Amino acid sequence: MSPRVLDRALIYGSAILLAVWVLIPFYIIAVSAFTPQARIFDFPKPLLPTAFSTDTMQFFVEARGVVPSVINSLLVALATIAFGLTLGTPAGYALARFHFRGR
Amino acid sequence: MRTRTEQFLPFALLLPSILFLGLLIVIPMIQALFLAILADEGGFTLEHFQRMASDVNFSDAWRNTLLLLLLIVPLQIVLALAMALLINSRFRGHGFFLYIYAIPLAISDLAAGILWLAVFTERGYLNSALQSAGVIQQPIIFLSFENVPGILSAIVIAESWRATAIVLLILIAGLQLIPRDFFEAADLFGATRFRRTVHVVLPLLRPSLQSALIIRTIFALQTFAVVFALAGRNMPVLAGEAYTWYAANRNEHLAAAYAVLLLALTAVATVVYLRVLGLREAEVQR
Repeated sequence: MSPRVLDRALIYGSAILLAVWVLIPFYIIAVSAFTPQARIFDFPKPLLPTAFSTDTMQFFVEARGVVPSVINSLLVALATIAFGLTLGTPAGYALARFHFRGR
Repeated sequence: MRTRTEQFLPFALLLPSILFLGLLIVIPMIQALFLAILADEGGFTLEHFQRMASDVNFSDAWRNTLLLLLLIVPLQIVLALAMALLINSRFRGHGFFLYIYAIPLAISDLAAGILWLAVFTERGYLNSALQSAGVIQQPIIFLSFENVPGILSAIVIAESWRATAIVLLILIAGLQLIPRDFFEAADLFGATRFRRTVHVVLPLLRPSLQSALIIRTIFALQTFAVVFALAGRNMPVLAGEAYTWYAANRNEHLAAAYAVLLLALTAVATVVYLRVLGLREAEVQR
């Protein structure tokens, strides 16, 4: 292997390794969420999606309080963004644009 | 000569946020301080601090908080630095990898704790993988109070997974401030990638590394939700004790004492970083 190819391989190898570390929990939670409810307590748990079911997700979406809590979260997030930008924009502009005592 | 409006404009622009911070941060802080030193029957007392120090969980909470800090912060800095340097080498597809590395930023800390609980719990995914591979015959109980290294590693892994992204973003921002000419100059003089990183990039990245260290240390002192999700009170930490004393034991004075202790620790850590790492004002203002 030429040094250049080795270099590329090293860069992509480590980039992919780090990406796998970040993504593994998401994979696990996805497998867990789409496994049929009867099999979720199996041990050892299947690490590959062997059986697919949307039961758990359906139960979750239909459970009381899930939809209202999503709406509440969205409202809080929107209000926080609006409030934060209103307060932060002028302050940021002042700090960046002007030189004054106590900056 | 500048006009009057021009002199007052910056202060007028800053006023709303200063008022807001004062109202929601400075005043509660002073209230907490008073709660910690006021006696029920009036007058000042150190009784709450004495009771905090003699509490069964106090020395454990103190030890665990510092231990987590010492384990998590260096690990995160190294991981984030590796990610940032990789991204900054601008290989084809680096933008895609940056997006992936930044995903945990969007996960709330409690959700991250529960996510990792699914991995480390007795019949969780780690034990499943180990047993399927034939490494173990019985599930290992990682999260028992008798298995301190197990609990500790689970928390360190979950916290490093969750909060490395914020360090990464600070470091990427810092790397982007470094003019590309510096890299070209280093290349021109025949520096290898390793020497370029050690002698050119890292020194120029120091201000960002310092901000990242300060922010992560402050957050590591406040580690709480991930610990609660994975260990409950099997692994007491200072922030968790403050919460427990307030919410479960209904003792706001003791909770405030813990909060004041955390505040003092945070202040000391910040001053130490600024002094020891020699961040001068000129660099902050850069």
